[in-house]
This record gives sequence, structure tokens and C-alpha cells, in this order.
Amino acid sequence: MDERILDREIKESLIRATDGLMPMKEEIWKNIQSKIESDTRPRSVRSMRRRKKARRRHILSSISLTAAAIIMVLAIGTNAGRAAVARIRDILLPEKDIVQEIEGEKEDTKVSLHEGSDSDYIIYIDESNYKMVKQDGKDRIVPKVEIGPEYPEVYLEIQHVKDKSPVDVAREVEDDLKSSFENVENYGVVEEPIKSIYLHARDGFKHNDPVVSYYIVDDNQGGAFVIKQHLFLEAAEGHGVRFYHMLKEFKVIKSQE
Amino acid sequence: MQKDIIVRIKNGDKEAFEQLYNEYIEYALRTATAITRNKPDAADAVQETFIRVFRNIMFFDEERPFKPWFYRILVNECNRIMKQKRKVISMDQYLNNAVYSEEDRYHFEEYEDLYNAIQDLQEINRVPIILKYLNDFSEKEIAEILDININTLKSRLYKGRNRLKKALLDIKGRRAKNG
Repeated sequence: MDERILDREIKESLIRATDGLMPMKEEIWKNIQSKIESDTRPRSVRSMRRRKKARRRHILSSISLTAAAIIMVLAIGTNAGRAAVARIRDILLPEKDIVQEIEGEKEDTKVSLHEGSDSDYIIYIDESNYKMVKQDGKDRIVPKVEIGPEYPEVYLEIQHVKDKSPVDVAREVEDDLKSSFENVENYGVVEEPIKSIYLHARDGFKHNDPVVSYYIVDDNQGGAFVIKQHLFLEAAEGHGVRFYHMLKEFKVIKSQE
Repeated sequence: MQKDIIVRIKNGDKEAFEQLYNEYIEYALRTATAITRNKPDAADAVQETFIRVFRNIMFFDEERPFKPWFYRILVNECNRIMKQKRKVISMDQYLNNAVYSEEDRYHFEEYEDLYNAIQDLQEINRVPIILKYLNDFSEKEIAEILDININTLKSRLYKGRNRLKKALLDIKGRRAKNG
């Protein structure tokens, strides 16, 4: 078969199967407009309070009971933080099974509950493949099996920056990435795998070119958790997917001085 | 996408945002429909994508190409919605969700078998094929959108295309037999 005919027919089938959608254009635009209008409309203090309350209600109703329990825990200082984590350990399952898709194949994985060094977050780690180590005052989740010197390092690093907002941290990270990488993208706020500001950087398309992603998570106390994922391009669908699923289980533990 | 439109949107110019909407809506809807296999889900994904673009445009570096950035958000939204609903839509349901005139349907049927073959591909082959053929993205751009190695992408496109080639030969063979 002539390759050009194949290309033409694939294109044509996609075009025809997705025809007839444009009548939705106006309705979608109206919905978008009403959403962005409510974003930009100046609000009175009272309406802002109402929104804040509504948002809080929404958060509480939409997250699971377990997650709500975590967020509601008020800890005083590190000792109390540890006590809070201990209480959370009682609430949460110490281990659970998740299903993740690696290279198109579904895989059942057991993950175990871990807490951050300063007891300010919890995360579930796939302990059959990874371990948590402390390095330069940061928590690192690294593969148990050594990757070899010919490849860039593979890790997921978590650091709590208490005195900078997520937006400020994201700006600094972006500037820093631009000094070392040719391609840096800031995707703004994403919801998956965790609500955060997401930045992505890489140089080339060779299998062992380094790829760095940052997820900047609001700690809801004026600071941010800076989560750095460092791997190489070919590992994106292996370690990248496993890190993604671990990040879905990342939860901030709120503390109060 | 011209840089000045992005700069205008960053400065809060809603007309510029509408200009961007008009330029991107058609193929965003087509792509989302092909990926989600469902018209209402596609509309939700596209709507949420534009809202995200408006809210996050301040983070976008206008020196970089806009289209792959936009489509990465769109593909993620489609995946999020599909994951949320966790539903499998059969082709019959898909057709019931779509709005086709009799004339459209007649033309569509000519290509229906091949479209079914595209939708039967494994997810890792299906989405790259949709991005390549609906949007004319280069392999490098698709690799960027899906965040995968370009060689992995090439292999997925190659395998997907080969399966479609076989499917198309079967379709043509069947049609020839049926006269």
C-alpha cells in the first residue's frame, strides 16, 4: 500500500469522526467566560470571606475522610508533629496496594507509609524498589538498585521551604533551571499527581539526557514543599511513573507554632 | 501563535484570549473527542483546558512555542477526565453521543472502520497517532507533549501505524469481496 494513501486515510478518518462539534463552541466559550469573570471580578471582603468558607467546605467535602483527618491535625512543634504523625499512622493503613501502569502494562504494587524528616508530611513509598535517605537536609527517595555512572541520577527529593511562597519558589526554580537547561516549561498550577506549580526541564532527546521536574506544593502556612524529580529520558516511563504514583499519596501535615 | 497575543493575555486582555480561543477551539475539540471517545467529556476537557490556560498563562514563557504547551494541558485534562469516570464507551455509545446529520453519517461510515481501528489501538499508540494526524505535530513536539523519549515515540507511532496499515488492508479486502 502506498504510504501516502495510508497517511491520508488515517487523517481523513480522524477528521470525519470528529466533525460536527463546532455548535458547542459558543456554549463552551460562555462557560469559560463566566469562570474567568468570577476569577477577575473585584470582591468585597464579605464575599471573599464567603468564598473562603465555601472553598473550605468544598475541600472538606471533596477529599476523603482520611485526608481530612490529616489536614485537621494541629501539631505544636516537632514533638507534637511526631505525635500527630503517630496518630495519623493509627488512622492510615501502614501498607496498601496500588495499581500502576508501567510501559502500558498494569502492575500491582505494595506501598508503605513514610513520614518526612520533620514530620511535616507523609508519603507512601514503593519499598520493593525504593528507599528514603536524608541528603543535604532534604529527604530523597532513591532506587534500591544502583543505576550506574553512565546515567544521570534518579531520585525524588522533598524539601520544606518555610519562608517563601510557592509562586516565589517557582520563580527562583525557573531561573535556576534556565541557567542549566535549554528547554524549561512552567505549566503553572496542575492538579495531578498533586496540586502544585509544575515545572519541567530537559536538554535533548537522547535516552540518557537528564529530565528534571519540580512540583511546588503550598504548605498552607506561607511556605512551600519543593519536590524535585530527577531522572533521565528513558526512565520517564519506569521511575517517572512510579514517582508519579508515590506523589499522588503525598499529604501535608499542618502544624501550628 | 503570535507572541504578542500571549503577552496581551498576560496583561489581562480578554479579546486576545478570545482570539486564542477562536484559533484553537476546533482542533482542541477534535483532539479531545478522539482521545476521550466521548463528546460531553471532550467539551469538559476543552473547557477546563482553556480555563487552565487563562489562569496559568503568567507561568508560560512566550519565547517558547505555545501549541505544545497548550496540547500538553489538553491531553492531561482528557486523561484526568477519563480516569475520573473510568468508563469504557463503546463505538455505539460514541455514535449516540455525537451529533451527525444523515449526510455526515453517510460520509462517516466510509471511514468508520479505520476510525474504529484507531480507537482499538493500545493507549500508548493511540494518543500519539491522534496528535500526529489531527494536529500535524512533529515527532519532537509529540514527544514533548507526552513527555517521552523521541525514540520511544517513534517506535509507538511506527507500531500504531503498522497496525492501522494492516487494518486498512483488511477493510479494503472486505469491501472488495462485498463488491
